[in-house]
Amino acid sequence: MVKSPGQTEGARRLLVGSVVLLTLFAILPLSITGWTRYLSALPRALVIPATAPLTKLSSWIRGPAQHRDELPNTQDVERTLSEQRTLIAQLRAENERLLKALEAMKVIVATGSSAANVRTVVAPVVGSFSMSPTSTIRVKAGSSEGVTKGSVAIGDLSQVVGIVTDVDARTCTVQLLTSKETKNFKAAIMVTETEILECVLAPTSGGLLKGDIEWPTDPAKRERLVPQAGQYVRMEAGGIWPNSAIRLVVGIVESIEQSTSPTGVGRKAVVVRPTIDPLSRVGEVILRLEASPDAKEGSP
Amino acid sequence: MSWPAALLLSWIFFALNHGLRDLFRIGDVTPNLVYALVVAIGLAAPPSAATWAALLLGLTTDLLDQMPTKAGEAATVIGPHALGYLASMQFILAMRPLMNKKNPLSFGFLALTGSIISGVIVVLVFTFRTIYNDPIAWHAKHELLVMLGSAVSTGIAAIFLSLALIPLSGFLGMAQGGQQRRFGKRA
Repeated sequence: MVKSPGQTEGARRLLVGSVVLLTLFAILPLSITGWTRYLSALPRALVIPATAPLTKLSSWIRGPAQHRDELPNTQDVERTLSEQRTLIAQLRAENERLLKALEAMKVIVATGSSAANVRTVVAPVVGSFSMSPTSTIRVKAGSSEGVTKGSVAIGDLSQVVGIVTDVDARTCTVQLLTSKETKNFKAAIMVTETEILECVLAPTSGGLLKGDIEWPTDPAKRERLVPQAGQYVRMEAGGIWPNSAIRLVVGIVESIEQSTSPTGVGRKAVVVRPTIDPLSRVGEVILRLEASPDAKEGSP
Repeated sequence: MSWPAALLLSWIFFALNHGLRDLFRIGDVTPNLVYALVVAIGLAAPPSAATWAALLLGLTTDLLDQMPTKAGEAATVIGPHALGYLASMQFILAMRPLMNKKNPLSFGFLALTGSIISGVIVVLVFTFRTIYNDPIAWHAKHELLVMLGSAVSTGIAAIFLSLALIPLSGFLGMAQGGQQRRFGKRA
Protein backbone atom coordinates (compact mmCIF):
# COMPACT_ATOMS: atom_id res chain seq x y z
CA MET A 1 0.00 0.00 0.00
CA VAL A 2 1.34 3.40 -1.01
CA LYS A 3 2.22 5.68 1.86
CA SER A 4 -0.09 8.68 1.78
CA PRO A 5 1.24 12.17 2.33
CA GLY A 6 1.01 13.08 6.02
CA GLN A 7 0.74 9.46 7.07
CA THR A 8 3.05 8.50 9.91
CA GLU A 9 4.94 5.21 9.96
CA GLY A 10 2.82 4.06 12.92
CA ALA A 11 -0.41 4.82 11.11
CA ARG A 12 0.85 2.99 8.04
CA ARG A 13 1.76 -0.09 10.09
CA LEU A 14 -1.64 0.03 11.77
CA LEU A 15 -3.32 0.16 8.36
CA VAL A 16 -1.28 -2.76 7.03
CA GLY A 17 -2.02 -4.73 10.21
CA SER A 18 -5.72 -3.96 9.81
CA VAL A 19 -5.69 -5.14 6.21
CA VAL A 20 -3.98 -8.40 7.18
CA LEU A 21 -6.45 -8.92 10.02
CA LEU A 22 -9.45 -8.17 7.77
CA THR A 23 -8.11 -10.53 5.10
CA LEU A 24 -7.85 -13.29 7.70
CA PHE A 25 -11.37 -12.61 8.96
CA ALA A 26 -12.65 -12.56 5.39
CA ILE A 27 -11.31 -15.99 4.47
CA LEU A 28 -11.44 -17.92 7.75
CA PRO A 29 -14.38 -20.31 8.19
CA LEU A 30 -17.46 -19.22 10.10
CA SER A 31 -16.72 -21.83 12.76
CA ILE A 32 -13.73 -19.69 13.78
CA THR A 33 -15.12 -16.21 13.13
CA GLY A 34 -18.71 -16.92 14.17
CA TRP A 35 -18.34 -14.83 17.30
CA THR A 36 -18.03 -11.67 15.16
CA ARG A 37 -21.81 -11.63 14.77
CA TYR A 38 -21.96 -10.14 18.26
CA LEU A 39 -19.99 -7.14 16.96
CA SER A 40 -22.82 -6.30 14.60
CA ALA A 41 -25.14 -5.57 17.52
CA LEU A 42 -23.79 -2.05 18.09
CA PRO A 43 -23.99 -0.71 14.51
CA ARG A 44 -27.38 -2.37 14.09
CA ALA A 45 -28.64 -0.78 17.30
CA LEU A 46 -27.48 2.60 16.00
CA VAL A 47 -28.69 2.32 12.42
CA ILE A 48 -31.85 0.20 12.48
CA PRO A 49 -33.98 2.67 14.54
CA ALA A 50 -33.11 5.42 12.06
CA THR A 51 -34.19 3.25 9.13
CA ALA A 52 -37.71 2.66 10.49
CA PRO A 53 -39.29 5.95 9.25
CA LEU A 54 -37.50 5.56 5.91
CA THR A 55 -38.76 1.99 5.55
CA LYS A 56 -42.30 3.20 6.25
CA LEU A 57 -41.84 5.95 3.69
CA SER A 58 -40.52 3.40 1.22
CA SER A 59 -43.51 1.11 1.83
CA TRP A 60 -45.88 4.05 1.57
CA ILE A 61 -44.47 5.10 -1.80
CA ARG A 62 -43.92 1.71 -3.37
CA GLY A 63 -45.64 -0.90 -1.25
CA PRO A 64 -49.36 -0.19 -1.66
CA ALA A 65 -49.15 0.28 -5.44
CA GLN A 66 -47.06 -2.84 -5.76
CA HIS A 67 -49.30 -4.89 -3.53
CA ARG A 68 -52.45 -3.65 -5.22
CA ASP A 69 -51.21 -5.17 -8.44
CA GLU A 70 -50.23 -8.37 -6.74
CA LEU A 71 -53.45 -8.86 -4.78
CA PRO A 72 -55.64 -11.37 -6.60
CA ASN A 73 -59.37 -10.99 -6.98
CA THR A 74 -61.37 -12.24 -3.96
CA GLN A 75 -63.52 -14.43 -6.21
CA ASP A 76 -60.39 -15.96 -7.74
CA VAL A 77 -59.09 -16.76 -4.27
CA GLU A 78 -62.38 -18.35 -3.24
CA ARG A 79 -62.54 -20.37 -6.44
CA THR A 80 -58.97 -21.55 -6.02
CA LEU A 81 -59.69 -22.40 -2.39
CA SER A 82 -62.75 -24.38 -3.38
CA GLU A 83 -60.80 -26.23 -6.07
CA GLN A 84 -58.03 -27.03 -3.64
CA ARG A 85 -60.52 -28.30 -1.03
CA THR A 86 -62.14 -30.53 -3.64
CA LEU A 87 -58.74 -31.82 -4.70
CA ILE A 88 -57.79 -32.54 -1.08
CA ALA A 89 -61.08 -34.38 -0.51
CA GLN A 90 -60.55 -36.45 -3.66
CA LEU A 91 -56.99 -37.27 -2.68
CA ARG A 92 -58.08 -38.27 0.80
CA ALA A 93 -60.78 -40.56 -0.61
CA GLU A 94 -58.28 -42.08 -3.02
CA ASN A 95 -55.81 -42.49 -0.19
CA GLU A 96 -58.39 -44.27 1.96
CA ARG A 97 -59.34 -46.54 -0.94
CA LEU A 98 -55.72 -47.46 -1.58
CA LEU A 99 -55.08 -48.07 2.11
CA LYS A 100 -58.06 -50.42 2.26
CA ALA A 101 -56.91 -52.20 -0.86
CA LEU A 102 -53.43 -52.50 0.58
CA GLU A 103 -54.79 -53.98 3.78
CA ALA A 104 -56.86 -56.42 1.74
CA MET A 105 -53.85 -57.46 -0.31
CA LYS A 106 -51.82 -57.94 2.87
CA VAL A 107 -54.45 -60.34 4.17
CA ILE A 108 -54.48 -62.24 0.87
CA VAL A 109 -50.71 -62.61 0.98
CA ALA A 110 -50.72 -63.51 4.68
CA THR A 111 -53.35 -66.18 4.23
CA GLY A 112 -51.40 -67.84 1.45
CA SER A 113 -53.51 -67.18 -1.60
CA SER A 114 -52.14 -68.67 -4.76
CA ALA A 115 -51.13 -65.20 -6.00
CA ALA A 116 -47.81 -66.52 -7.28
CA ASN A 117 -49.58 -68.58 -9.94
CA VAL A 118 -51.89 -65.80 -10.99
CA ARG A 119 -51.31 -63.13 -13.56
CA THR A 120 -53.56 -60.12 -13.93
CA VAL A 121 -55.07 -58.20 -16.81
CA VAL A 122 -56.53 -54.77 -16.21
CA ALA A 123 -59.48 -54.12 -18.50
CA PRO A 124 -62.22 -51.48 -18.81
CA VAL A 125 -65.88 -52.31 -18.52
CA VAL A 126 -67.61 -51.54 -21.83
CA GLY A 127 -71.15 -52.51 -20.96
CA SER A 128 -73.37 -53.22 -17.97
CA PHE A 129 -76.52 -55.33 -18.02
CA SER A 130 -77.64 -55.14 -14.42
CA MET A 131 -81.34 -55.11 -15.30
CA SER A 132 -81.14 -58.45 -17.04
CA PRO A 133 -82.05 -61.59 -15.13
CA THR A 134 -78.39 -62.53 -15.00
CA SER A 135 -76.60 -59.34 -14.02
CA THR A 136 -73.51 -59.18 -16.17
CA ILE A 137 -70.91 -56.73 -17.36
CA ARG A 138 -68.99 -56.70 -20.62
CA VAL A 139 -65.23 -56.32 -20.26
CA LYS A 140 -62.79 -55.35 -22.99
CA ALA A 141 -60.42 -58.31 -22.66
CA GLY A 142 -60.79 -61.67 -24.33
CA SER A 143 -59.11 -64.90 -25.20
CA SER A 144 -56.33 -63.02 -27.00
CA GLU A 145 -55.27 -61.76 -23.57
CA GLY A 146 -55.55 -65.21 -22.07
CA VAL A 147 -58.99 -64.79 -20.49
CA THR A 148 -60.85 -68.07 -20.09
CA LYS A 149 -64.20 -69.13 -18.74
CA GLY A 150 -64.01 -69.23 -14.97
CA SER A 151 -61.49 -66.39 -14.64
CA VAL A 152 -62.20 -64.14 -11.67
CA ALA A 153 -62.82 -60.41 -12.10
CA ILE A 154 -62.02 -58.13 -9.20
CA GLY A 155 -62.35 -54.42 -8.54
CA ASP A 156 -60.51 -52.11 -6.13
CA LEU A 157 -57.69 -54.67 -6.07
CA SER A 158 -59.48 -57.23 -3.89
CA GLN A 159 -63.29 -57.08 -4.19
CA VAL A 160 -64.66 -59.99 -6.19
CA VAL A 161 -66.81 -58.57 -8.99
CA GLY A 162 -67.76 -61.81 -10.67
CA ILE A 163 -66.72 -64.73 -12.80
CA VAL A 164 -66.16 -64.90 -16.57
CA THR A 165 -68.96 -66.89 -18.20
CA ASP A 166 -68.39 -66.16 -21.87
CA VAL A 167 -65.30 -65.19 -23.86
CA ASP A 168 -64.58 -64.11 -27.40
CA ALA A 169 -61.33 -62.87 -28.90
CA ARG A 170 -61.55 -59.29 -27.66
CA THR A 171 -64.21 -59.21 -24.93
CA CYS A 172 -65.66 -61.34 -22.19
CA THR A 173 -68.83 -61.43 -20.14
CA VAL A 174 -68.57 -61.37 -16.37
CA GLN A 175 -71.44 -62.65 -14.28
CA LEU A 176 -71.63 -60.47 -11.21
CA LEU A 177 -71.16 -61.97 -7.75
CA THR A 178 -74.57 -60.60 -6.75
CA SER A 179 -76.30 -61.98 -9.85
CA LYS A 180 -79.24 -64.26 -9.10
CA GLU A 181 -77.57 -66.89 -11.28
CA THR A 182 -74.56 -67.08 -9.00
CA LYS A 183 -74.57 -70.34 -7.11
CA ASN A 184 -74.07 -70.63 -3.36
CA PHE A 185 -70.46 -70.42 -2.31
CA LYS A 186 -68.45 -70.81 0.86
CA ALA A 187 -67.10 -67.68 2.51
CA ALA A 188 -65.29 -66.77 5.71
CA ILE A 189 -66.23 -63.98 8.10
CA MET A 190 -62.95 -62.52 9.33
CA VAL A 191 -63.78 -62.18 13.04
CA THR A 192 -60.12 -61.49 13.73
CA GLU A 193 -57.13 -61.48 11.39
CA THR A 194 -56.59 -65.18 11.95
CA GLU A 195 -59.92 -66.56 13.17
CA ILE A 196 -62.89 -67.04 10.90
CA LEU A 197 -66.49 -68.13 10.93
CA GLU A 198 -67.57 -70.01 7.86
CA CYS A 199 -70.80 -69.35 6.05
CA VAL A 200 -72.49 -70.24 2.78
CA LEU A 201 -73.62 -67.17 0.87
CA ALA A 202 -76.15 -66.75 -1.87
CA PRO A 203 -77.24 -63.61 -3.75
CA THR A 204 -80.33 -61.88 -2.46
CA SER A 205 -82.26 -58.78 -3.42
CA GLY A 206 -80.69 -55.33 -3.46
CA GLY A 207 -77.23 -56.48 -4.51
CA LEU A 208 -76.61 -58.18 -1.18
CA LEU A 209 -75.47 -61.68 -0.22
CA LYS A 210 -76.96 -63.69 2.60
CA GLY A 211 -76.26 -67.04 4.16
CA ASP A 212 -76.29 -69.13 7.33
CA ILE A 213 -73.31 -69.00 9.64
CA GLU A 214 -71.70 -72.34 10.41
CA TRP A 215 -70.79 -72.23 14.07
CA PRO A 216 -67.75 -74.13 15.32
CA THR A 217 -68.39 -77.21 17.39
CA ASP A 218 -65.96 -76.08 20.12
CA PRO A 219 -68.12 -74.23 22.74
CA ALA A 220 -65.20 -71.98 23.80
CA LYS A 221 -64.57 -70.96 20.22
CA ARG A 222 -68.26 -70.44 19.64
CA GLU A 223 -68.33 -68.14 22.66
CA ARG A 224 -65.28 -66.18 21.52
CA LEU A 225 -66.11 -65.70 17.85
CA VAL A 226 -68.81 -63.09 17.54
CA PRO A 227 -69.73 -61.89 14.03
CA GLN A 228 -70.37 -58.18 13.83
CA ALA A 229 -71.28 -55.59 11.24
CA GLY A 230 -68.20 -54.16 9.55
CA GLN A 231 -66.19 -57.37 9.49
CA TYR A 232 -64.74 -58.43 6.17
CA VAL A 233 -66.04 -61.53 4.43
CA ARG A 234 -63.70 -63.44 2.12
CA MET A 235 -64.07 -66.15 -0.48
CA GLU A 236 -63.32 -69.74 0.53
CA ALA A 237 -62.29 -72.59 -1.75
CA GLY A 238 -64.94 -74.67 -3.43
CA GLY A 239 -67.76 -74.56 -5.96
CA ILE A 240 -67.31 -72.88 -9.30
CA TRP A 241 -64.78 -70.39 -7.96
CA PRO A 242 -61.15 -71.05 -8.91
CA ASN A 243 -58.25 -71.02 -6.50
CA SER A 244 -57.32 -67.49 -7.61
CA ALA A 245 -60.52 -66.27 -5.90
CA ILE A 246 -59.62 -67.64 -2.47
CA ARG A 247 -59.40 -65.00 0.26
CA LEU A 248 -60.56 -62.23 -2.04
CA VAL A 249 -63.10 -59.88 -0.48
CA VAL A 250 -66.72 -60.78 -0.94
CA GLY A 251 -67.96 -57.82 1.05
CA ILE A 252 -68.51 -56.41 4.52
CA VAL A 253 -70.97 -57.76 7.09
CA GLU A 254 -74.06 -55.56 6.88
CA SER A 255 -76.06 -57.23 9.64
CA ILE A 256 -76.59 -60.46 11.55
CA GLU A 257 -80.12 -61.76 11.30
CA GLN A 258 -82.14 -64.78 12.28
CA SER A 259 -81.93 -67.45 9.59
CA THR A 260 -85.07 -67.93 7.50
CA SER A 261 -83.88 -70.95 5.53
CA PRO A 262 -85.64 -74.29 6.17
CA THR A 263 -82.36 -75.89 7.21
CA GLY A 264 -81.24 -73.03 9.42
CA VAL A 265 -83.98 -72.84 12.06
CA GLY A 266 -82.57 -71.31 15.19
CA ARG A 267 -79.36 -70.36 13.48
CA LYS A 268 -78.04 -66.95 12.57
CA ALA A 269 -77.54 -65.64 9.08
CA VAL A 270 -75.15 -63.02 7.85
CA VAL A 271 -76.03 -60.29 5.33
CA VAL A 272 -73.06 -59.11 3.29
CA ARG A 273 -72.74 -56.01 1.13
CA PRO A 274 -69.93 -55.84 -1.46
CA THR A 275 -67.46 -53.00 -0.93
CA ILE A 276 -68.30 -51.80 -4.45
CA ASP A 277 -72.00 -51.14 -4.37
CA PRO A 278 -73.54 -51.89 -6.80
CA LEU A 279 -71.04 -54.12 -8.56
CA SER A 280 -72.49 -53.22 -11.97
CA ARG A 281 -71.13 -49.67 -11.56
CA VAL A 282 -67.52 -50.80 -11.64
CA GLY A 283 -65.62 -49.00 -14.41
CA GLU A 284 -62.56 -51.20 -14.58
CA VAL A 285 -61.79 -54.71 -13.46
CA ILE A 286 -58.72 -56.80 -12.90
CA LEU A 287 -59.01 -60.25 -14.40
CA ARG A 288 -57.06 -62.82 -12.41
CA LEU A 289 -55.86 -65.50 -14.79
CA GLU A 290 -54.46 -68.69 -13.42
CA ALA A 291 -51.15 -69.41 -15.12
CA SER A 292 -50.71 -72.78 -16.77
CA PRO A 293 -48.34 -75.10 -14.87
CA ASP A 294 -45.68 -74.90 -17.59
CA ALA A 295 -45.75 -71.08 -17.69
CA LYS A 296 -42.42 -69.46 -16.94
CA GLU A 297 -42.18 -67.63 -13.64
CA GLY A 298 -42.51 -63.84 -14.05
CA SER A 299 -43.98 -64.03 -17.51
CA PRO A 300 -46.85 -61.59 -18.06
CA MET B 1 -11.54 16.13 7.77
CA SER B 2 -14.02 16.51 10.61
CA TRP B 3 -14.50 12.98 11.95
CA PRO B 4 -17.63 13.79 14.03
CA ALA B 5 -19.26 15.30 10.94
CA ALA B 6 -18.20 12.28 8.85
CA LEU B 7 -19.59 9.96 11.52
CA LEU B 8 -22.93 11.77 11.52
CA LEU B 9 -23.11 11.74 7.74
CA SER B 10 -22.19 8.04 7.70
CA TRP B 11 -25.02 7.30 10.12
CA ILE B 12 -27.46 9.19 7.90
CA PHE B 13 -26.25 7.39 4.77
CA PHE B 14 -26.40 3.94 6.34
CA ALA B 15 -29.94 4.70 7.48
CA LEU B 16 -30.84 5.93 3.99
CA ASN B 17 -29.23 2.88 2.42
CA HIS B 18 -31.15 0.42 4.58
CA GLY B 19 -34.41 2.34 4.77
CA LEU B 20 -34.77 3.16 1.08
CA ARG B 21 -33.29 -0.08 -0.23
CA ASP B 22 -36.66 -1.54 -1.17
CA LEU B 23 -37.76 1.68 -2.80
CA PHE B 24 -35.00 1.48 -5.41
CA ARG B 25 -34.85 -2.28 -5.67
CA ILE B 26 -35.04 -3.83 -9.12
CA GLY B 27 -34.99 -7.60 -8.65
CA ASP B 28 -31.94 -8.27 -6.48
CA VAL B 29 -30.23 -5.08 -7.59
CA THR B 30 -30.13 -2.16 -5.15
CA PRO B 31 -27.95 0.95 -5.25
CA ASN B 32 -25.35 1.34 -2.52
CA LEU B 33 -25.95 4.87 -1.27
CA VAL B 34 -23.13 4.59 1.26
CA TYR B 35 -20.71 4.23 -1.61
CA ALA B 36 -21.63 7.73 -2.80
CA LEU B 37 -20.33 8.95 0.55
CA VAL B 38 -17.15 6.92 0.05
CA VAL B 39 -16.67 8.70 -3.28
CA ALA B 40 -17.37 12.11 -1.69
CA ILE B 41 -14.76 11.45 1.01
CA GLY B 42 -12.32 10.03 -1.53
CA LEU B 43 -12.63 13.11 -3.72
CA ALA B 44 -12.12 15.66 -0.98
CA ALA B 45 -10.51 14.23 2.17
CA PRO B 46 -6.77 13.85 2.82
CA PRO B 47 -5.57 10.44 1.51
CA SER B 48 -4.82 9.03 4.96
CA ALA B 49 -8.22 10.01 6.36
CA ALA B 50 -9.95 8.85 3.18
CA THR B 51 -8.26 5.44 3.42
CA TRP B 52 -9.29 4.96 7.04
CA ALA B 53 -12.79 6.23 6.33
CA ALA B 54 -13.18 3.71 3.48
CA LEU B 55 -11.98 0.90 5.71
CA LEU B 56 -14.35 1.85 8.54
CA LEU B 57 -17.32 2.33 6.21
CA GLY B 58 -16.61 -1.06 4.64
CA LEU B 59 -16.30 -2.66 8.05
CA THR B 60 -19.63 -1.17 9.11
CA THR B 61 -21.19 -2.47 5.88
CA ASP B 62 -19.86 -5.95 6.71
CA LEU B 63 -21.37 -5.75 10.18
CA LEU B 64 -24.75 -4.48 8.99
CA ASP B 65 -25.20 -6.64 5.88
CA GLN B 66 -25.49 -10.15 7.21
CA MET B 67 -25.18 -13.03 4.78
CA PRO B 68 -27.69 -15.89 4.62
CA THR B 69 -26.36 -19.39 5.26
CA LYS B 70 -27.53 -22.57 3.54
CA ALA B 71 -29.40 -23.41 6.75
CA GLY B 72 -31.33 -20.14 6.49
CA GLU B 73 -29.53 -18.40 9.32
CA ALA B 74 -27.78 -15.02 9.19
CA ALA B 75 -24.00 -14.85 9.41
CA THR B 76 -21.61 -11.95 9.77
CA VAL B 77 -18.42 -12.01 7.73
CA ILE B 78 -16.00 -9.22 8.55
CA GLY B 79 -13.63 -8.14 5.81
CA PRO B 80 -14.99 -8.42 2.26
CA HIS B 81 -16.54 -4.97 2.02
CA ALA B 82 -13.83 -3.37 4.14
CA LEU B 83 -11.16 -4.70 1.78
CA GLY B 84 -13.27 -3.83 -1.24
CA TYR B 85 -13.86 -0.24 -0.14
CA LEU B 86 -10.18 0.10 0.74
CA ALA B 87 -9.04 -1.09 -2.68
CA SER B 88 -11.58 1.08 -4.49
CA MET B 89 -10.51 4.06 -2.38
CA GLN B 90 -6.98 3.60 -3.67
CA PHE B 91 -8.45 3.80 -7.17
CA ILE B 92 -10.42 6.97 -6.29
CA LEU B 93 -7.34 8.57 -4.74
CA ALA B 94 -5.37 7.73 -7.87
CA MET B 95 -8.08 9.13 -10.14
CA ARG B 96 -9.06 12.26 -8.25
CA PRO B 97 -6.38 14.57 -9.66
CA LEU B 98 -7.96 13.90 -13.05
CA MET B 99 -11.51 14.56 -11.89
CA ASN B 100 -13.61 17.69 -11.71
CA LYS B 101 -14.74 17.43 -8.11
CA LYS B 102 -17.68 19.79 -8.60
CA ASN B 103 -19.13 17.79 -11.43
CA PRO B 104 -21.83 15.24 -10.53
CA LEU B 105 -20.73 13.08 -13.43
CA SER B 106 -17.35 12.61 -11.73
CA PHE B 107 -19.24 11.22 -8.74
CA GLY B 108 -21.18 8.94 -11.02
CA PHE B 109 -18.14 7.65 -12.84
CA LEU B 110 -16.10 7.03 -9.68
CA ALA B 111 -19.08 5.42 -7.94
CA LEU B 112 -19.60 3.09 -10.90
CA THR B 113 -15.96 2.04 -11.33
CA GLY B 114 -15.23 2.02 -7.59
CA SER B 115 -18.31 -0.14 -6.96
CA ILE B 116 -17.15 -2.61 -9.58
CA ILE B 117 -13.69 -2.85 -7.98
CA SER B 118 -15.19 -3.22 -4.53
CA GLY B 119 -17.78 -5.71 -5.78
CA VAL B 120 -15.22 -7.86 -7.56
CA ILE B 121 -13.23 -8.15 -4.34
CA VAL B 122 -16.36 -9.07 -2.36
CA VAL B 123 -17.29 -11.71 -4.95
CA LEU B 124 -13.72 -13.06 -4.97
CA VAL B 125 -13.63 -13.36 -1.18
CA PHE B 126 -16.95 -15.19 -0.94
CA THR B 127 -16.12 -17.39 -3.91
CA PHE B 128 -12.81 -18.30 -2.25
CA ARG B 129 -14.77 -19.33 0.84
CA THR B 130 -16.74 -21.87 -1.21
CA ILE B 131 -13.51 -23.89 -1.63
CA TYR B 132 -13.86 -25.25 1.90
CA ASN B 133 -17.61 -25.79 1.77
CA ASP B 134 -18.54 -22.57 3.51
CA PRO B 135 -22.06 -22.63 5.02
CA ILE B 136 -22.86 -19.26 3.41
CA ALA B 137 -25.28 -19.59 0.51
CA TRP B 138 -23.32 -18.19 -2.44
CA HIS B 139 -23.76 -18.39 -6.20
CA ALA B 140 -20.80 -16.54 -7.69
CA LYS B 141 -22.24 -16.01 -11.18
CA HIS B 142 -25.52 -14.63 -9.88
CA GLU B 143 -23.78 -12.44 -7.32
CA LEU B 144 -21.40 -11.08 -9.95
CA LEU B 145 -24.32 -10.05 -12.14
CA VAL B 146 -26.11 -8.49 -9.17
CA MET B 147 -22.91 -6.67 -8.25
CA LEU B 148 -22.59 -5.22 -11.77
CA GLY B 149 -26.22 -4.13 -11.69
CA SER B 150 -25.71 -2.57 -8.27
CA ALA B 151 -22.63 -0.75 -9.52
CA VAL B 152 -24.61 0.82 -12.35
CA SER B 153 -27.44 1.83 -10.03
CA THR B 154 -24.93 3.14 -7.48
CA GLY B 155 -23.32 5.27 -10.20
CA ILE B 156 -26.68 6.74 -11.16
CA ALA B 157 -27.64 7.32 -7.51
CA ALA B 158 -24.27 8.97 -6.86
CA ILE B 159 -24.94 11.56 -9.59
CA PHE B 160 -28.08 12.69 -7.74
CA LEU B 161 -26.57 12.40 -4.27
CA SER B 162 -23.60 14.48 -5.36
CA LEU B 163 -25.96 17.46 -5.57
CA ALA B 164 -26.17 17.24 -1.77
CA LEU B 165 -22.68 15.88 -1.11
CA ILE B 166 -20.74 18.57 -2.99
CA PRO B 167 -22.14 21.38 -0.79
CA LEU B 168 -21.67 19.16 2.27
CA SER B 169 -17.91 19.01 1.69
CA GLY B 170 -17.61 22.21 3.67
CA PHE B 171 -19.62 20.71 6.56
CA LEU B 172 -17.20 17.77 6.55
CA GLY B 173 -14.31 20.23 6.85
CA MET B 174 -12.61 18.93 3.76
CA ALA B 175 -13.50 21.41 1.09
CA GLN B 176 -9.86 22.07 0.43
CA GLY B 177 -8.30 19.34 2.54
CA GLY B 178 -7.91 16.81 -0.17
CA GLN B 179 -7.05 19.17 -2.96
CA GLN B 180 -3.90 18.15 -4.72
CA ARG B 181 -2.40 20.28 -7.40
CA ARG B 182 -1.57 18.42 -10.53
CA PHE B 183 1.20 20.73 -11.71
CA GLY B 184 3.66 22.08 -9.13
CA LYS B 185 2.95 24.15 -6.02
CA ARG B 186 1.05 27.38 -5.93
CA ALA B 187 3.33 30.32 -5.58
